[in-house]
Amino acid sequence: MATRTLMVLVMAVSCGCRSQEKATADSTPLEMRVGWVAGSCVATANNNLTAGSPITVVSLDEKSSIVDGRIVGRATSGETCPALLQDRRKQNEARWSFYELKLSAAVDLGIGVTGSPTFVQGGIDLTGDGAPEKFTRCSTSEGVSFRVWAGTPYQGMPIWSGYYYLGYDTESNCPS
Amino acid sequence: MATKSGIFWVTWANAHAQNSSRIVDLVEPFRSDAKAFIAALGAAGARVDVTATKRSARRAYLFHWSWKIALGKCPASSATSMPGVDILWDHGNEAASRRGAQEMVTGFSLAVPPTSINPPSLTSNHIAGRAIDMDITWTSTINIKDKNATNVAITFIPDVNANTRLHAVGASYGVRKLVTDAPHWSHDGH
Repeated sequence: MATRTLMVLVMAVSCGCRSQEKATADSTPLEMRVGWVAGSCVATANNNLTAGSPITVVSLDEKSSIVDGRIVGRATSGETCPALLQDRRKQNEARWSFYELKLSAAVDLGIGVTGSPTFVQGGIDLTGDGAPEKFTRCSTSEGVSFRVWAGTPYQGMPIWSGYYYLGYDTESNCPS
Repeated sequence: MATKSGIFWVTWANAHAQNSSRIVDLVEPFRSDAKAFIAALGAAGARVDVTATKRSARRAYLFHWSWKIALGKCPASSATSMPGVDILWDHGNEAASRRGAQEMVTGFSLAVPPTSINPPSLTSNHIAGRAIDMDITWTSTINIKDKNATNVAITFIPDVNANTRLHAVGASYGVRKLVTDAPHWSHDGH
């Protein structure tokens, strides 16, 4: 009998490779700044991103990291954007706008922040309180749940959440 | 004679192990429950777009084992068999077995998420014919009749997972929301 292993990726981003930047007030609503990343493609509620805009991706792969990149343009095909493959496109496009990315390193799954996020000790501060947010992903019954937390992950409400519909059944490992 | 794993099985599955988005392919009593709920939504002015109903167990079997073998999660020799799918997972050496499985992972577009430990599932309410994926949209507030014919005023919110009044109406018909997956409703909420 197969053993089911519970693994939920939780990442408070280390930014030792970066200099801390002075916090800048960003009045753009969080849901317009944050999106989930699958491959070289970001899904966001923001329908007005322009080519060349900067994006910082918190990679939530086995080896987590922060990856810089830029928006290339609208993503239109499953070849460049796995979320737009035929078996999942309709559901994903109903909720998100998709943009192709040029990233400095490959990312399988992650959470992207457009614009110029504020780096603080231990990660990225999206709320302006000086503390780093926590970024998580886990598998749901037929997709991937991405979340950003101001406090302890999976306690209370996330400050942002995203959902990637895969179009087939997976073995869920999201905490209930 | 068994056919080795590889791209052949993608073509085979697309012809012989397709998923459905038809309500008629659901099993009773969930089929009637879903039809009644969708009819009530439509009568109230909601738009319902069904994207998935019954999924093929054979297709899920091919997804599951190709994913696990290609990603090196298990040896090809550990794959179980399935009636009606005469596939040879074990090519005699592990590298060849993984190549064959990888052809299928790529062909089925399963390489998402490639580093995950969670393979496509062998069992689910979709495979049992007791789940439906659908988008439900409307404008502002509408009155939806629950199974007791009571009108329930429900305001549209983009996050269907948070619309507990809609969930309650669905549950009255025996169609229960799974709140982790936006389009997903089933007989038991899983």
